[in-house]
Amino acid sequence: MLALIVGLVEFSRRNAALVTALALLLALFGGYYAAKHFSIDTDVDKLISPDLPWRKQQKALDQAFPQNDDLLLVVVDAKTPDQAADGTAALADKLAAEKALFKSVRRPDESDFFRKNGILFLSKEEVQSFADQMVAAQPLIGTLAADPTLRGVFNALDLLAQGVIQGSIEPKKIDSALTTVAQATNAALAGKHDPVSWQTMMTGRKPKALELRRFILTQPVLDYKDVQPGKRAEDAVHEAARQLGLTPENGITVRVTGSVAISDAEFSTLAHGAGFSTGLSVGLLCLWVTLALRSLRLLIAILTTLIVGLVACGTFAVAVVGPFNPISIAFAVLFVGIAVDFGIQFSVRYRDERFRVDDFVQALRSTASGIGGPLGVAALATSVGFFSFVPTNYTGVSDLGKIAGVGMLLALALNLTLLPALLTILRPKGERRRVGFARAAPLDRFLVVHRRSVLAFTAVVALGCLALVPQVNFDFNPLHLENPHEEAVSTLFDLMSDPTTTPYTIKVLAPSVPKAAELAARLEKLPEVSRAMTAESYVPTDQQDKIAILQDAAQLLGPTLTPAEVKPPPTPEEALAAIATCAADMKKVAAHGSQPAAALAQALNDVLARGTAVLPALAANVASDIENRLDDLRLSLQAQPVTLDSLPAALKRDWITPDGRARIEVFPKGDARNNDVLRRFAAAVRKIVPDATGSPVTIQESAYTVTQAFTLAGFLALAAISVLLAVVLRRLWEVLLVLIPLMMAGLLTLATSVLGNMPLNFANIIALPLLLGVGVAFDIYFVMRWRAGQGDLLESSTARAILFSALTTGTAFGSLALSSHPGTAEMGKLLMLSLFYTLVCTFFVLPALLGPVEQEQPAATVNSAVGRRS
Amino acid sequence: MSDRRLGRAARRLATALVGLAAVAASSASSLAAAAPQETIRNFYSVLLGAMKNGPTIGVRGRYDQIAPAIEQNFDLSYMTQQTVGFAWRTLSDEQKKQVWVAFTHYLTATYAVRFHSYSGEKFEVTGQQNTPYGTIVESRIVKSNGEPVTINYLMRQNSGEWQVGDIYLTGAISQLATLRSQFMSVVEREGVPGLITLLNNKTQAMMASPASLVGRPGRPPAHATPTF
Repeated sequence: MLALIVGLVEFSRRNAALVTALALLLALFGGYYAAKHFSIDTDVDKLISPDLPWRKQQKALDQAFPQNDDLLLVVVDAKTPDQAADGTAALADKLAAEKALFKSVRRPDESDFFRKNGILFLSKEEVQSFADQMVAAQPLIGTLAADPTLRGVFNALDLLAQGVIQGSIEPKKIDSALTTVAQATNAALAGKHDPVSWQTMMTGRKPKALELRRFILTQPVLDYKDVQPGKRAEDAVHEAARQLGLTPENGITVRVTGSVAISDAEFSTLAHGAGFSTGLSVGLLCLWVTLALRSLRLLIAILTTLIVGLVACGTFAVAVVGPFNPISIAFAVLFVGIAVDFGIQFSVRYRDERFRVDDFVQALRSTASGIGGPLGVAALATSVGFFSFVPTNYTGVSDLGKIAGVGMLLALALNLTLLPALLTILRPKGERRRVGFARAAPLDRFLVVHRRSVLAFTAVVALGCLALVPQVNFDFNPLHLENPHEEAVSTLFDLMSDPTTTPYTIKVLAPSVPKAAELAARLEKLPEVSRAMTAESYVPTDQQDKIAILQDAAQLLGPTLTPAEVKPPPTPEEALAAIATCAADMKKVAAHGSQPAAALAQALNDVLARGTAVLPALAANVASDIENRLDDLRLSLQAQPVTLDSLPAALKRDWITPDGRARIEVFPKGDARNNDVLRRFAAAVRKIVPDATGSPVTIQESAYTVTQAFTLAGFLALAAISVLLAVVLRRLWEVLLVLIPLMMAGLLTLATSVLGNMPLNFANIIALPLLLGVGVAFDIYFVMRWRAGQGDLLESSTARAILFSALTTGTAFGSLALSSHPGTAEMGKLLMLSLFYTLVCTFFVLPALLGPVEQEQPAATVNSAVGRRS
Repeated sequence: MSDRRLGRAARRLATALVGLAAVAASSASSLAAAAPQETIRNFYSVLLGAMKNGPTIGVRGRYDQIAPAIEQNFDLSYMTQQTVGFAWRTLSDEQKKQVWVAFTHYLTATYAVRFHSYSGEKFEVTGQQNTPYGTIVESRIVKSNGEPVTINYLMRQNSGEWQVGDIYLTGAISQLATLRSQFMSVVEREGVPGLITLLNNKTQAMMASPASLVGRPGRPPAHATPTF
């Protein structure tokens, strides 16, 4: 094989122009082809093999309830329940009209069914209290129903005032109403939009948190060719909200979350810093290469080879592997980081040879025969390392393995053909100085002389790290890898903090409705479960009594709630007259010592002073949406008995499939953002229902799948590389010599993960097998140099090459660490860390292990053809 | 000459007969249509009578005059039931009767006290509306200073008779709702016996209050409209 390599380099030197032209031409065509056929499939569902049992269970549930697939959840928060209800209704209608962007739009809590019967879901005491409150508020309700305008509002308030004056109403009872209206009036005078919540005023109680937050479930039309498939839909939601005036200035926020939004947010974050970090890493790359080579021409040669290699790799990916996925697209970073090493090794060795013999042709030949072997072995080993990703269940990574594996081989080929050709053309100048780290000589000697102590120290450290390995923690929660500043992610965290709205629920598909009820009852007894919902949860209890209470109230309120005649809208003068009367009576109430009444009287007098100009603003704050609230009230009083059969079809379809299987939704007790809570919750539920699915289950299963995949890949890589090395080096001890420093680096990385509280996760676990592929090259260079009888490793050009290779690889990985995407940043950090340890072990542990160069060499070694000392 | 007189008499008789028939016919139909309004008109006339004699006969006298009108024109069992509210179902027949009696006294006393003298008020029945909840009779009381107050009545039919179910002040404020919310806390705390005691106490207080004393002519009425 060495002969082949030497031959290749020689050929390329002789036909430099031809080789260069050919390579550039191929790169051009390849690049064109790749650009034309480039596609990316961002469907994260495809990243893990669909044949795994937990994937099949997930699929079964998705197929049973296709309306819950790929949801974009719109969350509307408002200051008053009225705004929340009305705003959500308007937004949902607007979105439903955009059929091109949304497959379906539905509001789970706002159908007529809930408006009418929602009240039955309160407890009997709450229903009674509601009915009593309505009866007590009848004067207000009756007046407003007959005149739902500004005039009606102030007539009603005037009534209250008169009641207080005559002593039939306690002043304290109307304090909050007066304060609210005064506040809204003053806001109107200041030009601000701060509407009164009539729902709160009529029911007399503070709104529950759930009433201030409403949801719209949409299924957007997704374009998987797009890097952010749901972006158009998300933008449409925000635009619609803006057009409807659902903005923070008006006290309403509209946010978007759900699996689609989170994936998009991920890509947005990834793309965000990508430009800067790419620029930085390219800059640093050039810096390192320049420092390593001290020549502009060498820099140009290496960069050209790199770019051609990247294009070739990309072309292969597009032509053979097919669409990229979110993981395999990272091949570019890997390629640049690792392939440039080959160029550096070759070039540094060339410089070294050129220093010894100042003749270009001779130097090139010596380079080929000197570094060709190690380079070939190193490239093969790295390639094999990547190929070991292929037979795993993590399809995302196996594609990456294919591409990177082939990429390494392409890089090798190019560095043995194109690079020499370019060097020939560019005719770099001679080397004036010795290439290597002369100052490292003492260190070389130290490591060899004090082998025993260095190795003993290393062994102690290794044992220490080994002890820490069991404590390595894997954070399986993919949300911790997301950027918490992205709206989709922060909204999700917000929802998760409330046990009733958390999306981290376990879903069970039971074969029938009665079975579902039975299972739900069993599940609810578990201490880790807060509740288990089924379709029957929508059938209220104690309906007879509650309906009787409501009918009783309906009898009393009916005639005034739905008056035969509603007054026509008032003229501005009539409105002002009503305000004047109210102001006067409020003043009398204030004379009895009521602060709120005084405040309201003052505000109303200000309105009168301002005149009719302020009336529209006042109406917007004080008299808006009264009709909607009255409608809500009318519907509530008409509540009908609810049975499983009388549930709305859409609601039933959410819980029961057409073939009778029923869904159970199980909610965790405690904060779902905590991994331990999730773990215990999933374990407890799965003990009763082994084939339960849902986020708490799938993210843990994904974690197992991914860790298994990487563990498998790691072992495969180790085995394959060992076999390769055994074939090449033919001595078990030397194979071990290559692998031991890597093991050491791995242990150090894991130990740091434990001590530095950097848990492993989906993103950075790739560092461990990568470390194997990258680090093995360094060790191979040193070991083969040592085998060839060349000691003084640290002061050699090889060491220089290794150092700068590590720097370039480290830069490529380090650019990831700068990303604002926490997952990518984690990955970058761990990669840099493991690379650093690899370097340390290669530079300090390996020489100690190797010891002094063997004076006698067996005849049948690969490098005997070299024979010379350099 | 006697023939002509006979003829004229016959014609007069015929006209009178036709007229009578017409009157009979129209009154028969308007009797049916106007029955709910009739109830209110009857009640108002009794009320007016009591007001006009008010200062002389005193509260007791007015009470005695108004009481039969109340019993006849108001659906008192319905009103009592609505005032008590949801607890009505739990009452025994005896208790129901007791509450009914107490409520009736209370209602009558209230009217007797409020409508204590006459100073030019006008009671007008202005029309009626049929709604899904029942027939609503619209009326107006024009105060001595010319200010009109709208009072509507929800009318219920009780074995052919039209009686008042609920009274709506200013057309929108239900008196039953007001009463129920007023008595709600008592019913909750002390049950229906407590309510009965409360009603009786209020009635006694009203009947003994200074505003209901005989005499004091010439003093303008403090309130000419019923406010419970």
